[in-house]
Amino acid sequence: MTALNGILKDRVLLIFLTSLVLTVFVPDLFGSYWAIVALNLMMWVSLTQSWTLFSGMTGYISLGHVVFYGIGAYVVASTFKVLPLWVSIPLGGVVAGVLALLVAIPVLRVRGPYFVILTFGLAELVKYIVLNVETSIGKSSRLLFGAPTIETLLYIMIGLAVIATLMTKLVSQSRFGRGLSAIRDDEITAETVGVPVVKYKITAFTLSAVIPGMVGGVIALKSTYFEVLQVFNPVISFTVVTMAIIGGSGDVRGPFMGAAFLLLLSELFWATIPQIYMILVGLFLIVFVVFAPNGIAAILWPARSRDSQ
Amino acid sequence: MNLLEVENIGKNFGGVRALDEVSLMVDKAETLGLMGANGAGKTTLFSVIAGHLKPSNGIIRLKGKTITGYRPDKVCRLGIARTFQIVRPFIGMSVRENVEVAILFGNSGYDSASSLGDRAMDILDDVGLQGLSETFAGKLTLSARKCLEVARALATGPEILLLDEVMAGLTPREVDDMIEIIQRIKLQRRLTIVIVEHVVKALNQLSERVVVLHHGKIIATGSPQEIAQNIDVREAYFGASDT
Ligand SMILES: Nc1ncnc2c1ncn2[C@@H]1O[C@H](COP(=O)(O)OP(=O)(O)OP(=O)(O)O)[C@@H](O)[C@H]1O
Ligand SMILES: [Mg+2]
Repeated sequence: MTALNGILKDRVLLIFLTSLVLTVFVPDLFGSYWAIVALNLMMWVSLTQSWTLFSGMTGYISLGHVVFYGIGAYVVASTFKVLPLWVSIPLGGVVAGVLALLVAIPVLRVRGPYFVILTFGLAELVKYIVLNVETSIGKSSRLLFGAPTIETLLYIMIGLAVIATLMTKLVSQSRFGRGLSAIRDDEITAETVGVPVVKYKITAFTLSAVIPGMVGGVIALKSTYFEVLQVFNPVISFTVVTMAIIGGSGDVRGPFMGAAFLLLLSELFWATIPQIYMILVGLFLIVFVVFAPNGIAAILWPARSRDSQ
Repeated sequence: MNLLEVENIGKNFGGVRALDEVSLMVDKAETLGLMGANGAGKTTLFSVIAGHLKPSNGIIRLKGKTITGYRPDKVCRLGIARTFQIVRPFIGMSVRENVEVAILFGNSGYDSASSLGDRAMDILDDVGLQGLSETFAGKLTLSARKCLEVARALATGPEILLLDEVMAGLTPREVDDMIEIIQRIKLQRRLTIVIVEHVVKALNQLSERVVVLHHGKIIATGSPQEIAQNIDVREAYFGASDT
């Protein structure tokens, strides 16, 4: 109840959520091209928001976020026309959560650069396992005929972005979130003052996997075909981390700012001169890491950002 | 029944035997001093009790219950709090937030009857840090950091407080202040304290009983006066026949 009260009183959050929801009007007002842009934006907001729930809060930088997205896409693609979407999309989230729970115990034993590499390696491992399974049953790709319209998918994705934002916000304001920040600051001290670090890390890691699981399913439907190498592409993980860094993960608006910023860059350059786009992304990443490690959100709204001092 | 029992604890680091069959008992509301030269194993003993290190052998009991091998967070919630010799504050948080985390997660059973901030301020008052409550822990002076270690441990609501050289590096005046703080919180909260200190004066003033560790072994136990006159201890410290 107190959590709900907190949300209703949080004007910044309410305005932010309202603006997310207002993107439902994009298809009608601006046409199908912008509907796809909006869908992409909501996808990245959901992914980045869910990434910050674990990696932003605990400082364990995961480079394997795509694995949950990929597994969700796989669930939806392989159960297409077998299960209704209102079952298969949430099921993608559940399966991603279960996968996170299973790998959490070994993966969360290591810290720092080892964790980064391990999450990356694990995502690649799962990718090749799925690839081999698919090849062995003779399905290098699957076509998904009769998927819902872009508008419908956009509405679902907006819902996911809202849920991801709310989840991250609720966690960051809770006792659980306090514990996660303590872990990020100094895990040994956290443990010393009673924070159940193992339980908390596993819980946060699992929670952060559920949203990408569902997002992956929706995106598989959007592209109307499923190809393993595409939905498990590690570039998706890199992009999420980049968006979180550039946008900032201490403020709910950070992931949105990061996603919007990179999408704008890619709108401007990707289609025409993709090399320039990659160079600019690299440059901005360096500039932000060095000069504004808490991202755009901390520059625009300094007082609210968690790390600003 | 003793509040805390350490029975035949051994700890090896590779070839180094940091603790060798250490046994000791701590009574309720007692203050036990732990002394010994550098590398004697004092910090290692704290780490074993608090769950940061698993002993190679031996048993730790709290109120008769075996707690050997429990994780630190569980040990903390059972009422044993430690400070770190090399201070470890949450540097990204303010002094008050450091203490709040300890209140929220410790043994004190936070019930939101009084506000978290108020409770944190009460504890900061007790250690004389109230004026620095909004300062970031990373920006504190050494003596303030040492006080914060004590405050954070205290905020977990412990029955037993393990203090590891909280006076090291302090000026004589600051040492006096710290002694007074420890005496006060001990009385207020009926705390049981195990204190490691190289400042002999502090150890003598605070402890009812002193245990001396040497190369991981207990070589003497007694009142501060007895220890001061103990010939083995002198040898261990001043190396008359150091092995
Ligand atoms: N993590 C570790 N790995 C290997 N050896 C260790 C480790 N921690 C302590 N030691 C060794 O164990 C012995 C006891 O160290 P400990 O830190 O417990 O001593 P201490 O009595 O606290 O000394 P000081 O007064 O310097 O704090 C030393 O020889 C030390 O080098
Ligand atoms: Mg020591």
